[in-house]
Parts: sequence; C-alpha cells; structure tokens
Amino acid sequence: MIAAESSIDPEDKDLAFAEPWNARAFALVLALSERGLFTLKDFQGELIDKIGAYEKLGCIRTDEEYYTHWVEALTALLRRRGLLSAEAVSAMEASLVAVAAATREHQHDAAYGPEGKLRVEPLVVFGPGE
Amino acid sequence: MTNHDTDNHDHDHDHAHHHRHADSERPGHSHAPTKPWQATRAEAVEALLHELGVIDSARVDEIVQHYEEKVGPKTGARVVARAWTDPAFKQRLLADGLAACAELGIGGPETELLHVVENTDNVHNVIVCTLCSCYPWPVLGLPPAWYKSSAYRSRLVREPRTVLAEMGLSLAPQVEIRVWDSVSEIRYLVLPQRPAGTENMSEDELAALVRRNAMIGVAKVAAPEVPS
Repeated sequence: MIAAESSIDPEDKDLAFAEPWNARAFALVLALSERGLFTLKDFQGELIDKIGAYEKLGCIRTDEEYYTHWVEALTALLRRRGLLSAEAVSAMEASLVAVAAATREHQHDAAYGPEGKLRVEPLVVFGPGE
Repeated sequence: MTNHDTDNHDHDHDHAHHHRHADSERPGHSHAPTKPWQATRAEAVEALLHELGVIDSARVDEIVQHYEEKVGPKTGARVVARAWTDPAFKQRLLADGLAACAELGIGGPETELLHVVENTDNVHNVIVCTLCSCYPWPVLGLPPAWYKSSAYRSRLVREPRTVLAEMGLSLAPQVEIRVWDSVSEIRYLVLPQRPAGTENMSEDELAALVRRNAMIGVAKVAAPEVPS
C-alpha cells in the first residue's frame, strides 16, 4: 500500500536541492527560458510527457527520480529544437567522463611515492627570506 | 561508464534508486566516486550550450544560489503574516496575488497568475500539480520531494480527506475540501487560518509560525506554545 510510504512524509527537510546536479538541471532550464530558447510552458509540456510515460508503469518517489525526468525532458526539448544532437551530447559526456577519470588517475599517482606509500609532504617549501 | 537505458521502465517499484550506478568502473581506484549519469548529462548539456554561446554559466550559478539561499517558505510566511495583520493587504492579495506580493518586493518571472485561496472554518484548500510539479516558486521556493511524488499527485484528487489525514491533518467531515491543480500559467498559494491565541503577536512573530506545509494546505498553522 502506498499509504504508509515515506514519500508523503510532510516532515521532509527544506533543502532546495538534494544533489548538485538537481540544482544544475533546474537552473539550466530557467536560464534557457530567460534567453528565450524555449518557454517554461514548452518545457513543462515536455516534462509532462516524460513523467506521463514513466507513470504508466512506474512511480516517482524521490527527488532523484523526479529530476531524472527533468534532465531527460531538457535533453529531448533541445534535440527537438535542433540545438543539440544526441551524438553531440554523447560525445561530450564521453569526454567529460574521460577527463574526470584522468584527473582521478593523476591525483592517485600524485598521492603515492615511488615505494607505493602515501606521500605526506609539502609540495614546495620556501625558506626564510625566499 | 555503465550504460543506461533511459526508456527502460521495467523496473522494480520498490527499488527507489534504480538509476544509481556503481561508483567506480575501476576497482582499486574507488576512492573518488564517479558521478551519476544525470550529473554528467547536465554538465554535457551546459558545456555544449556554452560553446554555442546560448548560456552563461555565471547566470546558471546565480539561479542556483537564488533558490538555495534567497527564496523559500519564509518568503510565503511573510505574505501570510501581512495578510493576517493588514486587512486591506489581504483583500489585494486575494484579488491579485502577484501584484500584492510585488508590494513586498517578492516576485519572479515564472508565474503569470498567483491565485491565493483562503482557508476558513468551513472550507479547506490544498494544492497539487497532477501532471508534473507546478508550484508557486516565487513565494515558496522549490517543492518538497513528496509534492512531486506519484502518490501525492494521483491520490490527492481522488481521496483528499484520507491523504490529508495520513499527513497528520484530520478535517471534520463537514469541512469542504477544495483541491487546486496548479498548471504552468496559474499557481496557487493557500492562506491558512490564523491560529487562536496569536492576537498580541507581531507580524514577524506570526511569520515564524507559518510553515511550508500550511501554505500547500496539508497542515494547519499550529498555535504557539503557551509558556507554563
């Protein structure tokens, strides 16, 4: 029964966004509508389609699920308007993932000394008067 | 990166985090978790739009900050407290919500019409958005997770008395319940009843009593605790 679900818990916290990407996705839509690329009504139409299709089989219970549809609606609307192709988005995603992995690798390597021990030392030292 | 099929709805409804993916595709390097795919998607879209010159990331930052820090239920509480203490303002608020809010310096471009509905002894108002999650952003900030849930959005219109009771608000059987469905152009705000025992309170003290849920209509404003 959905009656006892915590999704209708009125004591939810007042945090505006649970995750940074929720905030980014939300603000992107407002910024694009300010620039006149689409209206909020256009976006809401797309969001209603995504949520409606999802709810034929599933239920939205969390912010993560809700903003997932938000991200999908934004991508679909931009594609429909000819602003972003699916290929361009995929390529940029792959590039961002690669950069993030390389950064992690670099940080990992930099953290360890030649003997494989964690390096805990200042990066540079300036003596008195230097 | 793990593949994700965004059109796959064939999931287990009890599994709330079906979109979460493994933190790392590289065992042994799991100290820096990778981002969820939605974060990468949002970042990619922003980067591409930036390249096209149609978005300014500084403006995106400002909007995030505005909703994280500057607007929230306290904004709506100011409106309610003013309506309780200033009958002329209340009349203007009920006649034209946006114009009255603008008097208090509250506004935003997101709404064409803000319709304020007043609770009385005989009528209780509650707001929902059955199709998505339209909400009076300029006065309440962003909606809580439960407001966006399928359960609230589908059930409130069918059995409001039961849903309200589950949320802790039991209304007498003779009270009429009006459920208002927010849409893109029209947002609603509930003007809750002023609790008894607040006759001597200042506007600021009153505002501190008004919580978000009372302005959605799923709670009443609680009377202040009487010092013993």
